[in-house]
Amino acid sequence: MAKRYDINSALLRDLPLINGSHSSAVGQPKAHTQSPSVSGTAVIGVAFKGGIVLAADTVGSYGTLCKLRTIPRLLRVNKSTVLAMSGDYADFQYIEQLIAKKTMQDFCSDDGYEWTPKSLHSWLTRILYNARSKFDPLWNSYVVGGLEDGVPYLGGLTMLGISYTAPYMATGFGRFIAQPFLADQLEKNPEMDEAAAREVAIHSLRLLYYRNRESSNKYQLTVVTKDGSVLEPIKEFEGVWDTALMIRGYD
Amino acid sequence: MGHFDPYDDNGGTVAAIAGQDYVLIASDSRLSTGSTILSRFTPKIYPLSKVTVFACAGFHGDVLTLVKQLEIRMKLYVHEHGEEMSTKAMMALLLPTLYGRRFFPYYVRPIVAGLDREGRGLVASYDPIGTPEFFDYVIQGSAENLVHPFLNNQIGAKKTLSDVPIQAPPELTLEKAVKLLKDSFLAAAERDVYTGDTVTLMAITAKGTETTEYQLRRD
Repeated sequence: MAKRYDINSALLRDLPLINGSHSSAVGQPKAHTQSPSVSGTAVIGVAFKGGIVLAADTVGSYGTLCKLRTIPRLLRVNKSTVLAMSGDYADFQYIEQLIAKKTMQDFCSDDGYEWTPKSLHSWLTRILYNARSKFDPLWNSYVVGGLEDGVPYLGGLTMLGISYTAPYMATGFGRFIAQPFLADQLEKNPEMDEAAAREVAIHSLRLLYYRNRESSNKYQLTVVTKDGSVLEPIKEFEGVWDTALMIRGYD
Repeated sequence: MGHFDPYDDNGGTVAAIAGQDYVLIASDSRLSTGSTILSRFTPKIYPLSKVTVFACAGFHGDVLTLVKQLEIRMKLYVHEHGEEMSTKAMMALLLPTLYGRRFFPYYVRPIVAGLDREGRGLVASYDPIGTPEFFDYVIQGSAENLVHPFLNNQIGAKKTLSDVPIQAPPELTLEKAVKLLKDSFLAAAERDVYTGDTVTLMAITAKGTETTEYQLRRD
């Protein structure tokens, strides 16, 4: 009889057992978790004239299982700063808590200091770099966005502590699917306004929806302009699948 | 169980030429991981003082950390001594900074370029654990083995076995050096997929620093 395939077996097999009877764990030193479990896929960031927009879908995947369908992967930090995450959701929640703690400390200091996109980007880089240096990585990529002294700022960050800035960015699978599209759009329209940037961000998610099984058509946007930052409610776009009928050769 | 690799190679090329009365330093702006590009807008070149510039290829997480470390040491030095650290002092400082991480190295290919107190150009390159080398020109990063023979042919390798930095011959003017480095990066971008997008060139003379940029191929 064929062995029954459980959709989660690949992940369950990989989890270290508490009693240490896992064959490869016997006699090994204590190991940190070294792979993500519930994770989010690509996020998109686009800078436009006078602000930035971040976009992400709302799936929390457990391996190939679409385990959580509506989880927010964007975080509004304050009126000038927002954050988008891909990768391990638990690690993101830990970071959320750290940010909330620091925000509270800043508030209590009452010295007018608060997060800016640049300071959050720099601080997060140190957090992720120090975690990787302890061989206990936080399994996330981030896009930090906002207005730094009125100037749009977009910062990218990987789990190893590699940080960079660019006028457009995408993480994970989005690097392959969305980034070429974003580059093309910004080259054609370097003075992009908010409406165009939103359109481009949503279309990037649409491209990912068609090609990336981990993504979905439920998404969220956050926009920062001089008027402040807004974390918008979760929305949905419709897929157009007419062309699917024309695909041949995979059946 | 997945194996966690704390290192990455983000590619990129940096180069510098030490002239009699100038130093020229250049970096491309591409940041890659595997076969994908993280950013096309990240020159790996970091001014540390009015006359000293640091440039570094390799793992960008370590590059950023190392730069932060050097900037802090420069700041502390200014507070303590009331003047900026000399280029030679920064070259000396980089060795123990890198070797301090001998058993979990910074995966970096750094160069330091600047002027000495007499206004002569100095360049030094290091391996990831801090071994310094003093040439009249240096190249580090993903296209170093493409560019090195070109500059060997055009300038001629000159290496000191002591710790005394040296300069390229007086015939190599700043204008000629700029042309050489431009050609080097254009040639590198043709053959090395990790080098491309934009080159940032910094020319430091007694008059000050002049920064120019020019485009490379973006594919």
